[in-house]
Amino acid sequence: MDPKDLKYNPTHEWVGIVEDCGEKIAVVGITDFALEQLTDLVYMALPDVGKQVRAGEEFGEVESVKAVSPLYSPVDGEVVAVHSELVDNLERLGTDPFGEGWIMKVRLSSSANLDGLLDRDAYLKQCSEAH
Amino acid sequence: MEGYCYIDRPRCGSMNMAVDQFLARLAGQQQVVVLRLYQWSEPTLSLGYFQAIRDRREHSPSLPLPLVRRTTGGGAIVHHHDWTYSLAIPDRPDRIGPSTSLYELVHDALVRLLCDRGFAAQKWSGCAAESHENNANPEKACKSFLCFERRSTSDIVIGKHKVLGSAQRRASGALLQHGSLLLRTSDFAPSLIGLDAIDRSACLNSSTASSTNDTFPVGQVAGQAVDWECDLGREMAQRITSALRHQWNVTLAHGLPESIVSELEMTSDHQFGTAAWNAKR
Repeated sequence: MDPKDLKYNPTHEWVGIVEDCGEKIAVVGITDFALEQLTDLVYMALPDVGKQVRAGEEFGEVESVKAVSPLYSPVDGEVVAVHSELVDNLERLGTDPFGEGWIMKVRLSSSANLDGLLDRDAYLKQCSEAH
Repeated sequence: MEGYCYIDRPRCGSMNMAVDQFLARLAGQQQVVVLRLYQWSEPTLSLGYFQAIRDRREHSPSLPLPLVRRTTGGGAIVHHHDWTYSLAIPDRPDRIGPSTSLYELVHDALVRLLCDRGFAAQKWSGCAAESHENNANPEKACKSFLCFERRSTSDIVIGKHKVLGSAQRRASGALLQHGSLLLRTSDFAPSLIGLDAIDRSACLNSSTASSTNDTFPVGQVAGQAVDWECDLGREMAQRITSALRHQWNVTLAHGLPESIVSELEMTSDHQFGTAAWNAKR
């Protein structure tokens, strides 16, 4: 996916919306900036397919340098796919964070919160100001 | 910023973790820093958050011990003769990953403490070449079940022995950092060397000898063990508090307010005492 076309959580998750059989599906991952902050990832915990996620709430966790960090969902809906191969191939996150590094796909129950997410420029501005 | 520092009474594993979680939430909600030093009321094995419970079978000496899963990462620790600290600070939601600066602040302060006590302590990053030579199997050093058999750059080592390691967790608007200083060798982890068994005379070098005194009778008189352990716990609290004040302009009051103590004592171990938590992986 092209990073310019995505929306971003202030907490570093990206989301892209695709159409699948007439349904809106959110593809979710974490940004290259987040991966740079995380440095060497050693563990990742992902949600189960079927789980209901809510925007702003935790959907997974990662560990790097003995630090556990939560991952926050940018959208509301039901998890319909999880990139479970990532757990044993965490390097894929770093090599292609906006493509092969996708983490989960969510069938949206509401699009209401999407407008509140950051666009690429606003996200990059946040990163440059915060760190 | 302000906060609190206190030395807690020994508690069981599940309550120690519940108290730390309470304090982390407090740090996030009230925007305060809380430093807690504590020991454990019974020898306990704590697992790193992502460790699988079945992996404890790799370490037979600690099999008889009760187990609790931490919220922080890293490897397993046998809490028998150690001081554990927890440091909770307010955190911003846009922060992710390790806080290297917090590891460094605490570990630099504790390196200075150990050096003042006559130990040639340093961070592992300061002696990486030497330590690599001592680790015949680097892969094992990264994946070992026990935290004290692993090495990361901020760990405190004396010679080839790791004596302090820390780990972190971001959640609930706070960053929680746990760490453990190994005081004495435990029968439940006999391969790990505590401070009492490290020969200080062999450690002394020109930079530490001048600050060495004889007030810390490590390993000399068994009956005095409790004294030097208590003394060291108090000094750990003082050194970390001082570092926070001088480097981050954070002032910690001694002790917790009564209102917080009352609430804390109501804390339940309903999460950390359950199989659902401890055997979740």
